[in-house]
Amino acid sequence: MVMRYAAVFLVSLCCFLACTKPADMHTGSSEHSSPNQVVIGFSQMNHINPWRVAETNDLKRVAQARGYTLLVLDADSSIEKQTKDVQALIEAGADYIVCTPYTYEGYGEIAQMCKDAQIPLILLDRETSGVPGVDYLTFIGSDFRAEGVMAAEYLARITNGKAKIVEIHGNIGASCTTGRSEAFSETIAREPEMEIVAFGYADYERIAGQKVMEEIILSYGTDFNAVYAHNDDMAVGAIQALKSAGMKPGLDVVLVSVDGSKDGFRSIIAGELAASVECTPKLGTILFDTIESHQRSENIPSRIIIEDRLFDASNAEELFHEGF
Amino acid sequence: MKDSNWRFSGRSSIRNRIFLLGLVVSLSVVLIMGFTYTYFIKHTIENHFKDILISLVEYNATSISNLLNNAYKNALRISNDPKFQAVLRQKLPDSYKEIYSLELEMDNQLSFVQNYVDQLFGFHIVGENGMEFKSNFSSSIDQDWQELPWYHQIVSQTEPTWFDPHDGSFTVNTIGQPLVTLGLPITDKVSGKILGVLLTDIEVKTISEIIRSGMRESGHFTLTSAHGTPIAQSQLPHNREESTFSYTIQLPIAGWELTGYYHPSIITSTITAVIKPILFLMLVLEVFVLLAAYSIAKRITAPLTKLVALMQRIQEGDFRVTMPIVGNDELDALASAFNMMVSQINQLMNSLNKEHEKLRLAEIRTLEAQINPHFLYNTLESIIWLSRKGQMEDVTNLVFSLSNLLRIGLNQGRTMITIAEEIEHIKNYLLIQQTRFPNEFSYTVEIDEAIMNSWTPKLILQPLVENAIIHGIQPSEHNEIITISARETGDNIVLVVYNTGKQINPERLDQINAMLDRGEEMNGGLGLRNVNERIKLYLGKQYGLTLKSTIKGTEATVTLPRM
Repeated sequence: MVMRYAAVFLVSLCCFLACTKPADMHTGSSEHSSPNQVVIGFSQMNHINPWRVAETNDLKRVAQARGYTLLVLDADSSIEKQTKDVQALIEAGADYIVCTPYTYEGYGEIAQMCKDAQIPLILLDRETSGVPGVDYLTFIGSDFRAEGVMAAEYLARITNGKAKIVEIHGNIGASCTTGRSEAFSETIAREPEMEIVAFGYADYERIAGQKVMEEIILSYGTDFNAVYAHNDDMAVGAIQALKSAGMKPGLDVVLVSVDGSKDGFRSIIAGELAASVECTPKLGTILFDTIESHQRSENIPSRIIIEDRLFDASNAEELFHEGF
Repeated sequence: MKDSNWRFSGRSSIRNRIFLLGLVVSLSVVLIMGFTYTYFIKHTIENHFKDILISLVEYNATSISNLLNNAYKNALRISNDPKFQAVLRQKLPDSYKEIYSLELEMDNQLSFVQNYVDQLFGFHIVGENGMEFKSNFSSSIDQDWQELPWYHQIVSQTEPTWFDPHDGSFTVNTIGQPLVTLGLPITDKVSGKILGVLLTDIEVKTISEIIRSGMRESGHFTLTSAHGTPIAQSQLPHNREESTFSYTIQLPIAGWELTGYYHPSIITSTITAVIKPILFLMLVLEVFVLLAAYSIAKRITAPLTKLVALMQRIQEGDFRVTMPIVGNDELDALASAFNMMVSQINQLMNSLNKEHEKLRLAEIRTLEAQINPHFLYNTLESIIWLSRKGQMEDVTNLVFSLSNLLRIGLNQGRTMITIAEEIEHIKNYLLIQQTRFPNEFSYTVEIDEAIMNSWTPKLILQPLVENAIIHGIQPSEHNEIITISARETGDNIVLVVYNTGKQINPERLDQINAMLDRGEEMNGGLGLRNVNERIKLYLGKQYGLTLKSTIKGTEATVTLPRM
C-alpha cells in the first residue's frame, strides 16, 4: 500500500517535473480507501472537447465509487507524448493501462511496452491496428461504422435522398473518423442523388469545425443542403460559421452529427441541428466491469461494442439529461 | 671555526630572508587578491542576480497584470454589452426551443470574444432570468447556482470579485484543473437591478507558465491572492535551501502579490566554478614566484659566497685571486670592483716591496761608498807617507778625521743624522782629501746656524764632494775651490756643493739631470744616483738632486724638507 502511494507520488512528481503542465495528471481516488489495490493508468489523448472531459470524469467517478486508483495523463494530441505517458504509468505501477489512441496507426510501441511489462492494455473508444486479444486485451467503444450508417440513413430520410453534403471529419487517421466516414460514404452511395460536395478535417474541435466550415463556404460556396459532422462540437462550430455566412441551419441546411452532447441536444431542441447519433463517453462502468471480469480470470471478448441510439427533435427534450 | 660558522649562518640567512620575503609577499598578494576577487565577484554576481530577480518579478507581475486586466476589461465590455443586457433583462421564453436558440446565439457572441482574448479558459454568464451563456465547449453543470455562495459573493458587491484557485469551474464540467475566477455582477443599465453574473475563468496553469520562467535554480516565485492563498508557484530549486533575498510586488489588480525568492547556492557554486581556475592559476603563479625567489636568492648569495671565499684567500695572503665576471649587473660591478681592489692592493704591495728593496740596496751602496776600499787605501797610504815624513801632527789629524768619518758614517746604523753631523762628516772627508791632494783645492763651508739641528739622510754630501774632486778638480791644472753651503728656503733646506774647475759637457749634464729627475739608472755617477734615490725614497719625489755646470764651475744642489 505504502509502495503504491509512493509510486503514485513518484509519477505525479515525474509529471510535475517532466511536463510543463503539472495539472495533467489527476488521481481519481488516491485518497479513497481502496478495497482492491488495483491501479489503473489512463492515458487520455487530449481534453479538447466536452466528450473527452466527460469520458475522463466518468472514469474518475466510477473508479472512485469502486475504490480504484486511477492515474490520468493528458497526451496533448501527441503519440510521442502518449508513449512517454504510458511508460510513466507503467513505472508508476499501473496494473492496467487504459489508452485512448489518437490515431489508428502508431501504437505498436505502446502495445509492446505493455506486453513487456505484462500489463493488460485496454483500448478505449478508439481502435488501433493489431489483433484484439493479442496485441491488446480488448477494445471498448462504439461501432463507428454503425454510427456512419445511422447518420447517412437519417440524412437520406430527411432530405428524401437528395443532398449535397459537406462532411467535417475529425482528426485524420483515427478509427472513429475512418469508420464514420467510410460507412457514411458507402451508405449514401446507394442513393443516386446524395453526394459529398466538400469536406475538411477539424480534429473534433468546435473552433476548428467553425474554421473548416468558413473555409469551405469561401472556397466552395453555399451550394449544399446538408452537413455531416463527425461530432457535435464540430457541428456547433459549423453552425456558427453557417450563421455568419447568412445561412439558416435547420432551414437551408440539415445538420447531422455524432455524440449526443448537451450542446448537441440544445442545438437539436433549438432546431439548428437535425440529429445526433449517440456515441457515449460514459464508458466507466463497462470499463471497470471488464477489468473486474479480467481480474476474475473470465474470458474477455476481444471487442466490446456499445449500442448507440439516435437523438433528434422527437426525443431530445426527453433525453436531454443524458447529454454530457 | 667560529668565524666561519658565523659567516655560514649569515650567508644562509640572506638566502632564507630573500626566500621568506618572496614567500610572504607573494602569498599575501595571492591571498589578498584571492579574497578580494572572491568577495567582489560574489558581490557583483549576487547583485546582478538580485537585479535579475527584481526585473523578473516586475516583468512577471506586468505579464500577470496584463492577463488579469485583459480578462477584466473584456468581462466589463461583455457585462455592458447592450445585447447581453437586453437578453438578460427579458423574461425567460416559454419554450426550450426559444431558450436554447437564444442561448446558442449568445454563446456564439461570447465565444467570439474569447477567440480574440488569449489565455482565458472561458466566460460564463448566469442570468437571474434563468438563462446561461458560455464561451467554450464545456457543458454546464446542472445546478441551482443562485443558492451557491460564489453567486452571493459576486452580487453582494459592486467591485469585481477575484476568487482564489479552485479545482474545476463553478459552472461548467472540467477535468478538475485549478482555475481562478473573476466574478462581475451584471447590473441593468436601465433599472440598476442585478441581471446576473459574469464569471471569467483563467487556468492556474496559464499563470504558472508565466512565473515559471526565469530564475531556474537560483530563485523561485510565488503568487498569492489578496487573502494570502497561494495561487501559483514556480518550481522550487532542487536543493531547497533558504532564500537570502526576496522581492515582492503587489499587482495593481486583484490585490495579488508576486514574490521572487533568491536562492544563493547556485550562485555560490557558479562563483566557485569561476574562481577555482583563477585560484589554481594563482597557486601555479605562487609556485613560480617561490621558484623565482629561490633562484634569485641563490643567484645573489652564490657570488657572495664566492666573494667571501676569495676574501679568505686574500686574508691568507694570496693576491692572485679574481672574481669571474659573467654579466652586467650589480654583483658583477661588485666583482669587478673587488678585482680592481685586489689588483691595486697587489700592485701596492709589489711597489712597497720594490721600494724596500731599493732602500736596502741604497743603504748597502752608501756603506759601500763610505768604506770604499780604494778611498781607505789611499787614506792609509797618506797616513803612512806622512808618518814617514814625521809630520805627526798631520798624521794625528788625518787619523782623527778618518775616525770621525767612520763614526758618523756608521752612526750606529741610523739612516738620518743632523745637518751639523753631516757637515762635520764632510769636513773630515775634505780634510782627508786635502791631505791626499795638497794644493789642488781649497774649501769653504757656509752653514746657516738655524738649520744645524735639522735632519738629513746621512752621507748626502760625501758622494757630491767626491764627484767634484774626481770630475771637476783633478782634471784641472789650477787650485780650485769647493764651496759647501746649507740654507733654508721656505720649508725646505738646500744643500749646495759648488766647485770651480772643469765644466761638465752640457749634453752629458742634461742627460744626467733627466735621469736624476726620473730616478733612472745611469752608467757611471753611481754616487749621484744613490744620493738622489735615497732622498726620494726617504723624503719624497719632490725632493732630490740637480746639477748645474757652467764655465765658472759646477753646482750640485740637494733639496730636502726641513725636519
